[in-house]
Amino acid sequence: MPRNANNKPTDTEAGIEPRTERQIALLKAIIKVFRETPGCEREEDVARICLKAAEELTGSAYSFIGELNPEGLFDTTTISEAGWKACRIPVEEALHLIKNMPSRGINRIGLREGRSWIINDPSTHPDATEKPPGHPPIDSFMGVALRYVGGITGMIALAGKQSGYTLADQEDIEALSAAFMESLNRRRAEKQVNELNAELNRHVQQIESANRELEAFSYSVSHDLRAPLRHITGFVELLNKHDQGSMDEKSRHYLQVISEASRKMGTLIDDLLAFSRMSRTELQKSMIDFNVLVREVIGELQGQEQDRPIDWEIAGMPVMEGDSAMLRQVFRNLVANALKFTRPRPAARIEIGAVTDAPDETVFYVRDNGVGFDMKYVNKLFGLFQRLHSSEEFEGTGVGLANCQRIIHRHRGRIWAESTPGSSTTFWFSLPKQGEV
Amino acid sequence: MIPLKRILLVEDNPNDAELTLEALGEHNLANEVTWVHDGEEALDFIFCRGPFEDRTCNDLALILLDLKLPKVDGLEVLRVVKSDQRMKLIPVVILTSSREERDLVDSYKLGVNAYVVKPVDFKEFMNAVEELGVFWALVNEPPPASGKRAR
Repeated sequence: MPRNANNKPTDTEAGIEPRTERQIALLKAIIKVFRETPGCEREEDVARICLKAAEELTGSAYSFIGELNPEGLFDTTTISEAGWKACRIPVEEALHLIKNMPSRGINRIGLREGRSWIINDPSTHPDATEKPPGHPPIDSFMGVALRYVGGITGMIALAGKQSGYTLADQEDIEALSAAFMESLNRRRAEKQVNELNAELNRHVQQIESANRELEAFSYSVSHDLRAPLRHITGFVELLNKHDQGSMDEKSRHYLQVISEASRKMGTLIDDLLAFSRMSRTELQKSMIDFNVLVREVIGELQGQEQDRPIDWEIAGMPVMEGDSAMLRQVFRNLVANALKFTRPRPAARIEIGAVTDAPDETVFYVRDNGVGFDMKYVNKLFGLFQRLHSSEEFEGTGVGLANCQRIIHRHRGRIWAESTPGSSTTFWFSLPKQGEV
Repeated sequence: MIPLKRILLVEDNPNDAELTLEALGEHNLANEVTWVHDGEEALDFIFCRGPFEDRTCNDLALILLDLKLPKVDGLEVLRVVKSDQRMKLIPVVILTSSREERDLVDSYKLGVNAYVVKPVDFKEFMNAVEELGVFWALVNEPPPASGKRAR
């Protein structure tokens, strides 16, 4: 680099200094935009901060921001403080004038082409249009297109730099406008996220309240159904006691049918109540030794099956977290089902176990060699009141598996089944592992 | 022989009331049973006021109380009875329409003495009564050391 005898910087070198100053000023302006805009309430406030920074950076008298609206007309969205000061048009009239303008004149050149443009002699420019009386004088002009999310739809315009705009000004404002766009786009994205979240919350609340209503409904239906039912059973019983031989065989048969039907309905209501109660109660999590739990369940249920041999095989039960009462209910239902559907088998075999080596979940299974079901009905298996066997074949209300599914889902697990009719059925359910010892 | 104390049945549903009276009557329970239809009537009867101003007071051995009642509900009746110094000694048995209502911690908090599930099965009723230790009030046999008895 050339140096003179005194080792002072040459003119060329000295020229670096104002350039460095400019860069520092630009950086400061960008930092200002990023620092001050997140606190703004409105987009217009963000725009004002940027316009002020742009005016200071370039030495402009005033500035504005505008964008094309969906109708293809030009809206001036923000005029800087200095711009309003220089404006002699009454505010209300001005506010009306600056919206829905035809997109023409020198302002819109770069907007159309998506580039920056400088016009330091607007009065002689072929595109110049006449300004309304009271409009601030435009003796020099610079526009920079703004890239909103999805394309160029706006511009930042500066006017009234006495010495005229330079390429350096243009570069500065292009950089500043990038910062402006960044804060604006981010803001819009955040707003959108907030709106979506609010909408999601509204939906969640609607669903929750619908759910609560449904629970209350099923609870009260179950209770209110119970009253007439117990009157039927109660009075049938009284009638039976009252009879003393006055009724014939047929009448007694009718009474028996009424009695049995009401008992059946009583069981349905009980199951429905249990189902609705289960979804209303909070999960009470604790560490569960599934080996103990399963053996207790088998102990409870085996009592009813003393007349036939059952080959039990229990393997690899873990200790992990869950709602003990609810998961006991799941095993009770699955094991009771296994017992029920192996009843026609001369040698019943029931396997209960767990696959514990998956990283994120433990999968339990209950397998039996019972009558099984046709896999084409598998999607009905866990539905409330759905039954795959007639009640003459196998008793049941169709609530048990619906209950199991609800309990497992509440534990964030999955439940499914596989069956080969006439040979075997396996019920699987998984529990997420985070609570395992 | 001193006359047996009275049982008060608070039940709005006539069918349930009939079934309960049948269950009690069938076993030759000698106590007189008075049936009232709502909580307000029950409180008037218990505290001998309004239409029951002139009745002999303090003759209740037991209150059989339904929870769902018109006007004043069962829990409110329970609360009033259990917060009265004299009346809180009367055992109250709640008649529930299902075992589910055993979950009602509220009635426990208010000091209910026992539950019987509807329709009132006499065996279950007597079990509850036995638990309460008010057997004597129903069968007219003074309990051992009845003078010191702290219920």
